[in-house]
Amino acid sequence: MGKTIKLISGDGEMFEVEEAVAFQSNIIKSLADEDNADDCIPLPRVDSQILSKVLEFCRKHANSPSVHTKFAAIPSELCPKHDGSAAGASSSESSSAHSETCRACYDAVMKLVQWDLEFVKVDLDLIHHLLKAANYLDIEDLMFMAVEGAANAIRGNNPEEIRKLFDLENDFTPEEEKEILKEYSWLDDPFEP
Amino acid sequence: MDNLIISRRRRFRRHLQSELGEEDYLSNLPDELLHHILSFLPTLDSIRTSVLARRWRHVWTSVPVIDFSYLPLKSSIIDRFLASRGGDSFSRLHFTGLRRVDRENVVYKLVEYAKSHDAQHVTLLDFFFEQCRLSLFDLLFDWPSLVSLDLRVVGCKSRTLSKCIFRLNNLKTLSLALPENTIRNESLAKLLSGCPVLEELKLNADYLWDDELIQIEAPNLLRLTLIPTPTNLQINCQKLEYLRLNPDFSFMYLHVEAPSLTSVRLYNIWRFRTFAHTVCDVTAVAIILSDECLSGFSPKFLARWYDEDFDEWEKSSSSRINEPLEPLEHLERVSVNMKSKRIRSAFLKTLSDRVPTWDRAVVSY
Repeated sequence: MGKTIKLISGDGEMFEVEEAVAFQSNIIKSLADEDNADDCIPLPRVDSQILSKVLEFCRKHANSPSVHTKFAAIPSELCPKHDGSAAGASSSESSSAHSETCRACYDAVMKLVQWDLEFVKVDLDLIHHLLKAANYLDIEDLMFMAVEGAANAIRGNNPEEIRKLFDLENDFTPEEEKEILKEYSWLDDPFEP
Repeated sequence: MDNLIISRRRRFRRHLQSELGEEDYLSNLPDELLHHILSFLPTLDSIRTSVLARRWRHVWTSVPVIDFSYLPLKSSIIDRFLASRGGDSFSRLHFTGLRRVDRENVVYKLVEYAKSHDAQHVTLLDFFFEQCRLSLFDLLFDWPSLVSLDLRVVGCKSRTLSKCIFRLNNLKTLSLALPENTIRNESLAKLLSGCPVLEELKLNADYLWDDELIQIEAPNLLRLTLIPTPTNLQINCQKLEYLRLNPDFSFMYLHVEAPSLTSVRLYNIWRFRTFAHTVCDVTAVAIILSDECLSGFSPKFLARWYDEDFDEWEKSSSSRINEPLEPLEHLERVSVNMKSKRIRSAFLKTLSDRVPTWDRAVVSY
């Protein structure tokens, strides 16, 4: 195991993970970048159940290219095929991005996307917590997936269902509600015959 | 310097230890996050969130994306929408039509609104563009804030780009599909000079039968796709890294000045020798060849190895074809996709004769 980082969840549980995993969080990365290597980093706003889910995500993404990087910009170190044993070790390849025609990279990223989509096919309470955790810890890929999960939950559902899914309270007065429905009445019949 | 680091560290620690609020609902997320969530949704769904709760009433008006794709919306709906949305800026317009005739200029209204709100990314696909009084092209091609444009029109035979003024000073990505629309070199030159920072160009248009030389000259261009490919083509792009062409039977002349070229995809390349002549200075090239059309024919570039007469037609075209090949000194990676083993091995042999460092090249197929 390489260098590790210690994290403490809101309910007092300690998680020790590899740097590459913890550094998916930009906040943790910036903090650990300094010389207080033995400190534990407390995360009071994330409890252990959520933190372990988050770390599961980070572990999967630790040594993969971000799904949002364009293929052409993926550094060759991260390619599953060209693991430093590329023929000739040509200098033009060394640490620059390698060709976007690399099939191995494409497959790896697609697999990761599939895994991510499965990861967020969970109940909305969890998505909601993941969203907050990703926001709090600044984990780009997790944020992206949680947002997509939240959007999928809203899409196509009527307001009652959405409120139930997200535990939202309808705090409009009956008059306000009538006013809004009138304001947006044009939405009732939007399509050409 | 130390103080800067210490205060930054303090700030991050403070962030992590900030006060726990009451039970946090989705609504307590910052505005930008809500906008981000809603930007994934079709705009109609996004508007409907206004009835969820007080917090949500006006969130949709600031969502930076407008997406009405695939909906046969009434023109009055668009008017109401634009009025309700008001003046908040936004960045992305996405509209895919249904290939129906747009009698009431729904598209024009949306585009006009987008332009006046400094939108940066516009996608307009599959909408029907008949002769109409209002010129959508004039609107689209003179747009200071536009950064990316993906345009695919149908039903636009009589329109050409020759009368357009191109002023797209921030445009980095352009995908233009104007099937059945002929484009002359002059218009293309005007387009390119009107997009000084263009990095990626995908062009799908027809070229005239008179085999006019098409010249692509763009100082910042990194990626170029020309499918269909003009029969006479000259490319002069110093920064070009990626080139994709699909020439047909009548393809005659190609000259490429692109010292930064690293990835080339040539489909149905009959005249490999022509291409290879002009990129011998390239530092690294990955060549992907696909030969779906080659069954029954052997590609002309292998004519040296087979007892075939050259066509009269081939003899009369560029004399460069008969010159000896220069070495490809820097070729590093070759990927070949050809069904016929015979042709593939002949092709690889051609290359191996030409590449001095062949034993160091990585070949895959």
